[in-house]
Amino acid sequence: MSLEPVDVLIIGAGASGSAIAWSLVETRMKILCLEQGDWVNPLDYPSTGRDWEARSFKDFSINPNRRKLNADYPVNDKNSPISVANYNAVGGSTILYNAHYPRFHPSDFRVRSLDGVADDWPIDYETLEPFYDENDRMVGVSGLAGDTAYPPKEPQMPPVPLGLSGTTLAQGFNSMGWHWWPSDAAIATEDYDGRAKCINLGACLSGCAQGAKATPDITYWPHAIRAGVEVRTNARVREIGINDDGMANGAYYYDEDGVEQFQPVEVVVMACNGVGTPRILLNSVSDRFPDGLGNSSGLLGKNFMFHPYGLVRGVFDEPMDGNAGPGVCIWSQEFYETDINRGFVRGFTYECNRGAGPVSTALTGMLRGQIPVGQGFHDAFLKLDRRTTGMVGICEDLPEEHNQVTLDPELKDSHGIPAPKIDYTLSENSKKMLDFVVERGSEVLTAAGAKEIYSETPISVGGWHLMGTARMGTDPDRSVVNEWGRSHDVKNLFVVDGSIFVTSAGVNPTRTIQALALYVGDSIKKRLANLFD
Amino acid sequence: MNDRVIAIEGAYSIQEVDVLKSLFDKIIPASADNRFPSAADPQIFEDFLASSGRFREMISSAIILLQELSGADYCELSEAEADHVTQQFYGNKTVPVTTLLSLLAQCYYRDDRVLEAIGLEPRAPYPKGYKVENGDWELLEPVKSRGPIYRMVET
Repeated sequence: MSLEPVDVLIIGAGASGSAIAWSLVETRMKILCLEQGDWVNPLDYPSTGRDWEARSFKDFSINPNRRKLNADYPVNDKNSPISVANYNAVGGSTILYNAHYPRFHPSDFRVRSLDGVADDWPIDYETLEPFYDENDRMVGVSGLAGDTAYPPKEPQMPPVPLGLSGTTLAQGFNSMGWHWWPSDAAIATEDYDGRAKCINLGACLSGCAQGAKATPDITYWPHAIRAGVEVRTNARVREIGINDDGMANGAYYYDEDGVEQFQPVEVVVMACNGVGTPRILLNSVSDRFPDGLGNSSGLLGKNFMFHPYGLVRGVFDEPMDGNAGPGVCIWSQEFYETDINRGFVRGFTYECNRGAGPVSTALTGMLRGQIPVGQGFHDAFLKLDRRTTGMVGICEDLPEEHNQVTLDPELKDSHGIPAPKIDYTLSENSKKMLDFVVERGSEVLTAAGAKEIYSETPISVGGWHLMGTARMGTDPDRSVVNEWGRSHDVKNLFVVDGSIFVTSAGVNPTRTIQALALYVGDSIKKRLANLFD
Repeated sequence: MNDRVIAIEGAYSIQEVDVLKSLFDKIIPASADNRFPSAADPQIFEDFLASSGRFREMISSAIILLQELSGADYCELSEAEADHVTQQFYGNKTVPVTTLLSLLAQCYYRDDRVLEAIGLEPRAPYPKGYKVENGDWELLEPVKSRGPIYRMVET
């Protein structure tokens, strides 16, 4: 028995699903969102308890294979130097993001034209700019106008505090004559849209109990739900069905009791990000689409991109912030644009992240050999505790078809749905860029006064950003969706998440994912009369 | 095999408990001035036993590795031998060892006495939060004086 049909079915209640749901409410269509996870009560976040750091290694771990909650599915990422990080709930992986919230740059949409690599996007910065602005108003962005690394943009709120760490690092950048600026952050530094301002809990990466960090469960969803959108949680989609005309006609999913359901629908919007979306579409096979739904190009799941991260941190004699304050602090885009003299193309952003709590400080020191066993343990710990700060370099990854998401032939989730399998290798370009991240990062930390410097490339657990597996483009042979997010093959199937990225840029993707979702929503609204032509 | 159960969750044997206590005391001993307790302190150790059940298999593997490195019962080693084996174990980067060290750090650095010893209030971050200095935005003047650095793109 099938359920009552809806007009629009959105799969995934994270960054993109929430944004397009809100965008489409004015159409008065019946909109349903299926989410495999549940709502998270902010009072259950780790920062409300004494064991807040320990829980970031357990039920709030970024790694689904470690977390193993009911909402999670396993990911086979053994053939990748970087493991997938995600979270499955209303709000998606933003529940565990740092709220570092940069935009792409105009050049990010033109990498083929400018640098002769990868492909240009079918849209440009100007096209997306009004949707960036609209998204910013919904999310509430803190920052400081006038960043010399960007075209003009106006934040809604003042920047997050510099603190001791930011001040020290800023002085280092100034000594080098390099760019830095307070980071744009999806963190309320003033009360905003019913959310209380940040009180520097410092545990952004395991959920914000204060509600200052902008996650869709407290930004877009309350507005969308008040306007009539339904969010059905604990509903794990297995595949999209098609009718005889080759149009998507609904989704097969397992409800909270594990019972299979079929949800009939007129329009399907995939919003499960760069691993979840290709997983479901590749699992939606039929005589008409034997290689997965919307995969006539053969590119579904291919061109998978992470952001390879390089970590560089320094130990100082002076006190730093430790875990107090948002992890977001300042950024530098001194090395963002291509300079072929560096030996690689494209570039990266330095994101400066204050410090860490005592557990992370101790564990890092123990594993790096900075803290010895025995009587020297405590003194060595105290030399690191609240005296360590630094940055990560978030490197632009370029699309390569051999980097891909496929379905694992053996590994399955608790409902028997094939798990995603990741095959990924770091390119030579990325390796050179990571080396550069460490070399220049060490220079600026030394200039800032660091007495000891350590690094890690790539950050092996840092697969936060999942992009490129259903890329957008105008050529159906070279892309999965068109320039406004509609499948080339299935005219009532849309993708709005990080899958549709053509390139990754050297910045965090969430702001662009949400702007793209609003842009696709707007494109749908403008074409309602002939949406399926 | 000793089948006496020490902790309800995780069910460690007496022998395993003895090995872990000895190991923890070697890794994080009490400080000479007694400001810092040993990681084998009863409260901290009970916390470890109660909260490590989820990683029971990893802990077992770590204990087996420690015993293999010892060539005998770790608890029966001389002081010098135990120091040597502990160093070897501590430098081992396998998942069981790093998991054990992670759990040890998690339990040690949430003990009130330890947090007070390092100058932190023994409390959850929420709802009180923390004070962070706003800083001096005049530091941006050199950056502003350079002017725009982003790449212009023709549309």
